Amino acid sequence: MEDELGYLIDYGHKLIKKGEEKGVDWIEVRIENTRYEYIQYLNDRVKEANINRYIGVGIRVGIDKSIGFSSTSSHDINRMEEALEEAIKIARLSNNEITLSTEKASKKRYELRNYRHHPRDISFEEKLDAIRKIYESIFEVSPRKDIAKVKTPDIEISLASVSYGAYYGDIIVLTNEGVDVSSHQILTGIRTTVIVEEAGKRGDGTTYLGTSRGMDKLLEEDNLVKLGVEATQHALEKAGSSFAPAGRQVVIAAPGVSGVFAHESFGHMSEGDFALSKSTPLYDKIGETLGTEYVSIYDSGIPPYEDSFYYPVDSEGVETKTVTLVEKGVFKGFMHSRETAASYGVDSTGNGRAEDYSHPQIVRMRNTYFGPGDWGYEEIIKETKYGILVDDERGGQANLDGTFTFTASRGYIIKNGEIKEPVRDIILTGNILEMLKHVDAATDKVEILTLPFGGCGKDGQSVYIGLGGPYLRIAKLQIGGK
Amino acid sequence: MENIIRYALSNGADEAEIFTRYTRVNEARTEGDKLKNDSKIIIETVIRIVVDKSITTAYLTTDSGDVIRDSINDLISLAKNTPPDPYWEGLPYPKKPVKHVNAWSSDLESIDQELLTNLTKKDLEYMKSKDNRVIPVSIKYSLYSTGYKVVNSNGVNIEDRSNGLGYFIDVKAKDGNSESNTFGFKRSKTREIESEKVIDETVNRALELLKGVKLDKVYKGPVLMDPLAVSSTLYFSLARVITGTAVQEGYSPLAKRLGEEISDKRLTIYDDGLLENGWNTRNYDEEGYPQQKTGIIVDGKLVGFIHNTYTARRMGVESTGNARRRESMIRVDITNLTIKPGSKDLDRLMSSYDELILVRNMPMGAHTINYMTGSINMVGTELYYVKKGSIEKVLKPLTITGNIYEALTDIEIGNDVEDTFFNIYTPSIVFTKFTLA
Repeated sequence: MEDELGYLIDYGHKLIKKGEEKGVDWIEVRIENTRYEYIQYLNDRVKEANINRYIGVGIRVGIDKSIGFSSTSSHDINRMEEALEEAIKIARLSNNEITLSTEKASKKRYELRNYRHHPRDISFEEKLDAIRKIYESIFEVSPRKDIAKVKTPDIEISLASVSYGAYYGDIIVLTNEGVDVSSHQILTGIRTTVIVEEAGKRGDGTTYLGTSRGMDKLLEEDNLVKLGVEATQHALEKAGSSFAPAGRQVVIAAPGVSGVFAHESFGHMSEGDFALSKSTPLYDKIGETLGTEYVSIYDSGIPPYEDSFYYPVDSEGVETKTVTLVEKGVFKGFMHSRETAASYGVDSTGNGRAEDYSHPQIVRMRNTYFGPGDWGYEEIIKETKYGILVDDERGGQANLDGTFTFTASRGYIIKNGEIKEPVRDIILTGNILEMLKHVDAATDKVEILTLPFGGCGKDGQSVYIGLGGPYLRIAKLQIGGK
Repeated sequence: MENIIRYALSNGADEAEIFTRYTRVNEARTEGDKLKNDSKIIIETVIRIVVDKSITTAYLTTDSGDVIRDSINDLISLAKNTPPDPYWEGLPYPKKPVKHVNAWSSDLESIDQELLTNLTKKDLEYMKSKDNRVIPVSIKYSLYSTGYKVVNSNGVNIEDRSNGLGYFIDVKAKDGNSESNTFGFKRSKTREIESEKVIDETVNRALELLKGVKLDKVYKGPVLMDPLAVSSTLYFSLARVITGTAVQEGYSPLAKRLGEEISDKRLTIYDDGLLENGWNTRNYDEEGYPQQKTGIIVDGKLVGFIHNTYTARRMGVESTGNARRRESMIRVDITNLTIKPGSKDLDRLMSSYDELILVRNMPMGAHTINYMTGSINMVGTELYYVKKGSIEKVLKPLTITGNIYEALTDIEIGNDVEDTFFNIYTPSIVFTKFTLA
């Protein structure tokens, strides 16, 4: 792998020279050599044992303020040169008046090293053993006090699935401005899903563990057992629970759910390209108060929290900065790629990302999260007379005008400061700009969730992200349901 | 490729399969006023190796023989350490196509990057000239050409190719404090994409939506969904539970209902892999098995599921030619799902009810439908209140709740069949069991 990387880097430098000889003003060569491992243990057997390998080159050239992009998979030299020709042709055709911000030309290798076990060093058998431990714990550990095992005549587990995924490898960015960076990306994770049927009712439960810190946590027995047991517990709880009461409610969003608000709703509205096209109502709102003092929102490539997605340098070779989007309720600014930064006359924030070598860079988030408040978790529950605690986000949809509809798989009614009965499939709808005005408490601990399954989509590109926050209390939020 | 199969067998594989695909994509698009062009060539190789019923796969973005041979060795070693899959019954055997279809349009061969660029520029100017309240967010042309080949150790050796032109626009309208956002799309096997018609229709909708008013009541009555609203709802529910995988792995509520009446008798649905001009019409699916037309629901009765070779053999039936690949995964997916039209056009459907709400376009959150239970909770963003056949007012967004499987038991089907980008060819349908609030 190292040899191939060296070969690709050497050829990347040659492509830059060739581009200059052909008359480009500016050229960037982005090289990818990454892997994705996936194992799924489904209903008592290995359903998938896959190894994906992504090798390819994306070439961006600038000619007379016009940018062209082309890419090719494979590491065949002739194909790379064809891609260079194509990028030049496209730049000449486009006449798109695009300039890029001037950034410090970095020469650096980025690699997170604070873990012991890299997935490439762990054998398939060890990975399968870890998966089986989770799988067995779905069935064999008592999920509820009143039953010894899940396999009782009344309860049927109709689906049990454990998926392991690991993405890792190197991305290199070279330009004729002197940028020469490489980053070793790594993201590992496990997802456990259980569907149970109890007395004719169905419930599903899912647990996750994701990290950029290698395999260490994925090999710890306590973590593995917990993933299986909690998935079954959640499924049983859902089978026996009803829908949340509809209407405007006090809502306490668990970190994963507050992260969805931060990323899906507010985050996309704060992307520099949407500001430029005035697609977001925030385009002229810098400096305005949008929320309460408990609302601070950040986007960072290397946030100071465990289990975030490690992203130290973007796909344009720009070191990532922590962007303060909102500070104590006040909107501070946008996330930028080199292109949108140039239009705004500012520096790039390191948000120019591409799904892989075959896609051009656009403005994308990294880890997006609400900042901490000063409440304790127990305190926030105790101080809530009536409300719904929502957890386990299952995605949703957000529009650039701020409207959203998100689903939380599980929830609990809170009455007089105590957590009471569980509720299921809670639909949260509203407008983020309205919601931020009603955030009246935030706990003092932030958690970030990141996973190597799927990712965030925009313009046909999907990238890995992290999202999170503290427990946030929203005094008024519309709950859908029955 | 045949050499590579021989290499795998001689190095310890019991069975081997190689899938290769070459794809070229040319795109021209706008972001606001800025023109963005790009092109890509994607080379994909997928290897499936079986040793003693243990299956492993690799996905590579290269056709380099050295890398492929290295991967085969990795996979053989991996398969030897993987427990067998008791349901594995082998790779497909060769079979002739049901009939020859041509998914390749020579009309599209003459389109190049320059033409796409010029069309995009022209459309941007046209959209800007329509109304000064309109903000073009994005216009995109995308041309793809792809060819694939499947070879396996059972003698399958097929190739097929296809191409197509896609068009998508994203439009915003703003008038004072009122804003709206909508999109339009078209895809075609010919150069005739009729982009101005798409722009006219989408811009008109964006402007109409500026007039939205609140509906101050909970509405429980007929809901007329246009083809895109129907297809997005069915894609995230029914289309996911009619696969052999869903039935066998325990997440299809239809698993035990084969032969039963599950919907209104007026509903007939086929998965038609040979549909004339269908977006996914091919001679072969992605493991080299012939595509075909498969009955799913006929006159309200559940008559079949869709399969690839693995799920079919596990159920003791023939594959329906629905194997689709996503990187290293071999899934079961719809080809072209067709809903048999009724007799009424949209106007006659609307005038058949004293009042109804018309839902256009894809509701927000359609992808969160719980396909295991059918529970729907999505937000309709393009809604019209219709009284005695005429649109009386445009409505602000409303939550649509209900259960899609229950809702299918009482429907009326129109005749305005459209291609939608969910690969579902459907007319508008009236549902009576949804609640809007």
